[in-house]
Amino acid sequence: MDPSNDTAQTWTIPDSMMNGRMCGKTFSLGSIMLFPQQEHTNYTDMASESGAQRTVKMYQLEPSSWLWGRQARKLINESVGTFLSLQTAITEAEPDRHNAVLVKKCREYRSIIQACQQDTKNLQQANENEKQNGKEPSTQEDLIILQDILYKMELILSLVELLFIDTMSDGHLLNQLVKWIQLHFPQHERKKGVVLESDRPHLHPDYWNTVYGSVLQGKLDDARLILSNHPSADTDPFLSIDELLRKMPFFQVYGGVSVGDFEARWQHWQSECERRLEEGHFASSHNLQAICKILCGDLETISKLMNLMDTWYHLMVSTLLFTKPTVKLFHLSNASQDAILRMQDQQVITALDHVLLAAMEADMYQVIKECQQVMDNPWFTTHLTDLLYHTVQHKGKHQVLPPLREYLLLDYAEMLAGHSSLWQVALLYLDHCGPRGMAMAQEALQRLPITSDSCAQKIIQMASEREFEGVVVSVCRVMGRRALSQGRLGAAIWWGMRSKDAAFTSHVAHQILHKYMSDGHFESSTLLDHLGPAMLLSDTLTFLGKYREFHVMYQEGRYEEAAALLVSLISSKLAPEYFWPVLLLDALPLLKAKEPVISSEQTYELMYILDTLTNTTRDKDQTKNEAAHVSFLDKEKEIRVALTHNLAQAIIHEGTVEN
Amino acid sequence: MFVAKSLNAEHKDLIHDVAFDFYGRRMATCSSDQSVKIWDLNEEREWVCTASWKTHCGSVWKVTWAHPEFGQIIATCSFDRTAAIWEESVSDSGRGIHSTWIKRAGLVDSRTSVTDIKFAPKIQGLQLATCSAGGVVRIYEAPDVMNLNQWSPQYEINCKLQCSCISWNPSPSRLHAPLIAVGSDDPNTSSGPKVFIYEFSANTHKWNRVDSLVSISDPVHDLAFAPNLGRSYHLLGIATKDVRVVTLRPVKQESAQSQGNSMSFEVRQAGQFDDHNSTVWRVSWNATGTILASSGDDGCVRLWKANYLDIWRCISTMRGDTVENVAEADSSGGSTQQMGTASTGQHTARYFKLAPTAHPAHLQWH
Repeated sequence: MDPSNDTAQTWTIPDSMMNGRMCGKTFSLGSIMLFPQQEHTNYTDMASESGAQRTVKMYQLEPSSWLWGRQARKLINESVGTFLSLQTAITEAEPDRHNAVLVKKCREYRSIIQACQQDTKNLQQANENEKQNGKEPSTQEDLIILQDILYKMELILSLVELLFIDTMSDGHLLNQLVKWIQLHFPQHERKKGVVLESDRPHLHPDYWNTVYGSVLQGKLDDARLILSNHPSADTDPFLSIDELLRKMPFFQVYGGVSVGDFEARWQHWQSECERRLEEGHFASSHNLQAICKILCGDLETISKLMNLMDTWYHLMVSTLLFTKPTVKLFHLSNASQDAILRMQDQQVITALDHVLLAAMEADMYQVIKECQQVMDNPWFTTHLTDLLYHTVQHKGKHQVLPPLREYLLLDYAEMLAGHSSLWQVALLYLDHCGPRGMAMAQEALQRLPITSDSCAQKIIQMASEREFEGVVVSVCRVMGRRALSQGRLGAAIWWGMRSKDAAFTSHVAHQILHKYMSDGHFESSTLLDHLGPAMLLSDTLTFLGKYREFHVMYQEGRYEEAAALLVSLISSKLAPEYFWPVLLLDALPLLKAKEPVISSEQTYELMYILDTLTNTTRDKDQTKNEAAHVSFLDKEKEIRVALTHNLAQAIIHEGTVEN
Repeated sequence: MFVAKSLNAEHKDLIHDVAFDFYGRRMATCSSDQSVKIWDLNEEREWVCTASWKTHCGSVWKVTWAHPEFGQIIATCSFDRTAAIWEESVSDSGRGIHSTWIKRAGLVDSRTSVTDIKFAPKIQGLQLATCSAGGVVRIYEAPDVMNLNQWSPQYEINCKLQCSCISWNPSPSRLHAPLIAVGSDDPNTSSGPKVFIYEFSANTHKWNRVDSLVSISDPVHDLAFAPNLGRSYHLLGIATKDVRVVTLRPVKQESAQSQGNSMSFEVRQAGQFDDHNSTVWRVSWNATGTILASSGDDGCVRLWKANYLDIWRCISTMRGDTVENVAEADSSGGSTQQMGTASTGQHTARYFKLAPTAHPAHLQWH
């Protein structure tokens, strides 16, 4: 069996009806609908007895994760900002500034996580205080779990930062590790305060443990401060240990001391510690002796203080602090194995340990893989991989990270895209995923449920920014169809024009004309009056637009222009045949005008269509009930009279003008 | 992690197919009770049955949605040897919006049970493919997308073996000619390959068989092309005696005579999984083609996903429980269920968390 299949989890549907054959159908981005399919179908109709007695249920499954919690929303929203600024900063920065940029961004991620952790903690404590208000224990539990996850992510990220990103010189590494331990194990710091504030610090039960703890974390000043509160602080042994603590050399990156010089100084200091220990400076106090033994790097003494360190990595760093001041990255693998061996009986190796161990072994890929296995969402691995990808990018080729980064980005973006309020964040990530990102962005945009007009506009805007023409057209078409099915013809025309769909707009334009014929009203006349060049999309739409123009002219009293337009509409065959009666009726008042506005030529045209119309009407025996049609039949005679009358007038008029 | 919620199926007999619209907000179910039901997600994100009607005179095998660009249209196929096209008509009756589904066309060309029906990708217009137990694939088209009453049978392909399933390649690229995969559940393994690939040639206006998957000679019950988001190859999920994932990589033929109209494919098996340990009945992809769900006779639904190296693996398994340990929280809607200490808050009440069956290899952080 493929070992990677080990991570597959089994989920149980608590319904015995489902305990047989069931079928799953995926939909949207990650949802699944399960329904029972108990019998073998085999394509023969069956008499059924199933289903009658019991309620058959279907189950909708949706992926869920702590990332969907309200607490994590800040994490998502702020990390996208850092992610985006990282991408621009790295392209703009000089090659030698890359590391500085990455360190800065890594710290930004860390502070985002820390802030989220703090918020969660505050919320949890607030809940704790008003527990009687019916807060559920499960949310409380969730908050605690979330804090734990956040803490661990930050711990890993800061280790990754110091091991892989913020790499300067060998001496520096230990300083960084020590700082890392100090930051994540603040218990001695806290105890220090308690001890010093007590009435008689040296009698406090934690007095010596706090001193040891401070020394083990390299907080030598703290140790000296606590020691100075001891009543016998000015005795020789105390002064001696104080001197040793004070003199311990720490590597300074910009201190002007080479690593070799530093190592020599450090050796000198430690042999001084060993000398004083052998000479029995601290024979009077076994506590001071223990401190000196730590300084000498005595493994046994350090191991005995295991309970002050909790974890193997604390133990490892404390040991290195007093044994290998110029430790290099490749030493850490052995050092961590040693530490784990020394810890063994006190600690179970957890998933977190596997991640840290992989980091100590300088195996970036393994770090990502281990993280992936324990996280139920790709938030952390995505950002981590992106950081590491940029770190190794300029240091030469790395085979694994580029495709892995893209895969994780796509995965994370896909997850966000499925969320009703986070899909815009998803697009921001997809912008950095190459061609597959583009394709997924288009798909994600198209699949967004268009719940309202403003939602459609939003999608169109996002798509236009990315030049996804296909998406824009598709959204417009869907909106057009929807408007049509709801009988909103004006909106349908508008969407049809935006999608440049000729067949659809023709169809809607016909509907508008029919509607006008039956009730004499125009749907959304303002829209139709301002079609502009878009009306050329289809013949029917052009006719509709022009016909509205005619109405406007007529209302404004520009009869001659109106008449010319009307006749040209008829003679150009733009007008659909069913609409001719309306046009003739419209012509009636113009024909009856005192001064002829319709020329003889134009009158012939009108007479021609009237003739065709009456012939076809009789032939087909149409029984149209549309109001316009009925009134046309009523007024047919009147039109004929008006036509002949107008023709006569026009001929006379034209004759007069010519003369 | 998964959260689940349940709904009453309401069908009087076995449900054969569930289909979701483009947005995943409408659902159609079809059943042996000869009816189809339409479900809509309401504002509380619950599925509400908004229409239910008798569609055929036999079991309804499959139901499928057209792209919303063409309107609200579904197609059904049945044991009664017909297929049908239905369009929603919305009317505002004063007391809320009422929807009825009107039969726009009946496709009666088949002489045997119509076993599958699928709309073509929208790029190809309003086209519909059906396949039948008699081994015939028919492609229909509505030449005028505004007129759903007219569907003309455009092509007929005889596959010679009884067909069980059909899938269009959803590739949105115009560079790819229309492609159809057809599966056969002919029980005789000696009758040769059970998956055929047909490609439409724009030059000859014909559907040509461009490949048969020789590696699959067991009955095929379902197959589905994955949505293609920027891949250069096509991905086909197949349900047969096991789950198969096959890639089809187009290879341009070098010879000048072919004029690029006969594409051949480099077929590679990307995955073959017998985790179900029994017949696999259905496969389905999510909208982005990243997750494949398979349903088998072992009572499990499994989800498959590829890693960044395109190695497919099972990411989740769902199975039913023999013990009914769910307290019915209500009797009417059937949509509210509680489990264990699941929260009773307003928003989460409808969902309950699924309990994972502990897996020894799975490491927990907390």
